[in-house]
Amino acid sequence: MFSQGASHSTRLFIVVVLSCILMFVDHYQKHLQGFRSALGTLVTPIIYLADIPRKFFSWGGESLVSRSQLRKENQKLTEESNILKTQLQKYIALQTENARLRNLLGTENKTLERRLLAEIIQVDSNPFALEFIINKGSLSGVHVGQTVIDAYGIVGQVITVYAWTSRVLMISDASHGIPVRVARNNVRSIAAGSGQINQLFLKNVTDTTDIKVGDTLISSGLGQKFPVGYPVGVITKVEHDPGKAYAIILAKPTARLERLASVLLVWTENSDPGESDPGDTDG
Amino acid sequence: MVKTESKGTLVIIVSFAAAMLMNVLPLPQVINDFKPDWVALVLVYWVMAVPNRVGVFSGWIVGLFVDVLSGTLFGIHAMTFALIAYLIQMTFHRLRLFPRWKQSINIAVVIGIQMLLALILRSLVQPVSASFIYWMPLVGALLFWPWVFVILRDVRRRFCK
Repeated sequence: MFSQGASHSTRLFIVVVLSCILMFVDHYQKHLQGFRSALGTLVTPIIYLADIPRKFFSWGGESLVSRSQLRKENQKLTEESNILKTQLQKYIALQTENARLRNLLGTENKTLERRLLAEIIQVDSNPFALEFIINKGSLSGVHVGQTVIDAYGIVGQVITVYAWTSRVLMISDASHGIPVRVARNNVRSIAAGSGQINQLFLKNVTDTTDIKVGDTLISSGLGQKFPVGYPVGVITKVEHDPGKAYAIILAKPTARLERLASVLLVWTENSDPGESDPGDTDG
Repeated sequence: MVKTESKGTLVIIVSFAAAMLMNVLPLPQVINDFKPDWVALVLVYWVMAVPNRVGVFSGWIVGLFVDVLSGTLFGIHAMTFALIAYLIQMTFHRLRLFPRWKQSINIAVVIGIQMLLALILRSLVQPVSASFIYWMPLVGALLFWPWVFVILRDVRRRFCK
């Protein structure tokens, strides 16, 4: 027993050194992405199993709806669809006009992005990070750094890809930052996550900058990571503290981060897999 | 003999998988705050019961999987789980003889050390807030250890003999 004691210590030492190397490599380099994906794919069944109760209840909730309720919902959706379609007509006209003007200017024409609907499968994983897992992975062509949106705005970006699932970091995570501009006057800034699910703050904005409560922030596309023009947040608070160098500006994400059920993955033209890196950690 | 060995290994792997499943199972917030790290508890049990088969290396491998599952930095859970295995391996003679409640307290202390180390390692790379909610799972571990022990003991007696 005592002779074994020494060997335990040696083992622990080896393992601690190995772990330190792993942590270092994982944090500063990207060599472990493949390894992480492989291990993550191995544990995917666990994630799917954990999702079964929720699926079951939502299936039950959907199946136990009365006929009149369904009719009502159907009617509402048809109306909504009609309204959206009429709006789309205008949009198509605008798009062609935009393309024509861009041709006149000689700049490259931006086509529509490819999109894919993904479902969120489990929310409870890492208490310190605002992350979730979606049910589309590298087999559906998802890649690291990809933008994730919902019907109302930008949700976040993909940080790890497994074979059938991938992990998404929300824009309000404390380590996340997204380049934005104010829709009203094109003032540029970076919207950093606060760590609270429904709060962003603008970094390094001087007191004299023209930003008001209620202004809409849209993605500026400056980091080459997020597509241009998607809504990100709405300014909720602007505070000028004479003792501080910058104004304190808070925003609320337009995406419904705490009530997400399904999200859209967006492929932009300049997003080529493999090259992009995970965090906009400069934010 | 070989057959029971491999069967025992399978049981150990399945128990770890079940613990991981329970770790990620979404639960109401109130329960979630107290939810202990099931994988850590299962690891403690196996090291205590079969220290010659489940030890520092096994703890490390299991930790790697937990890292992937929870999306933490690679190596945090691996290192801290190896530490759990080491501490239990050092003390399993005494732990086995303790009454159940005393065992609970000792194991909660070991898991507390693990959580502290994990918190320190995590704080190196990302901002963390260690409010008292972070330590709530210790209460859960204290309360659930006797059950984990009894269940896994029955499992071991039935499948590993």
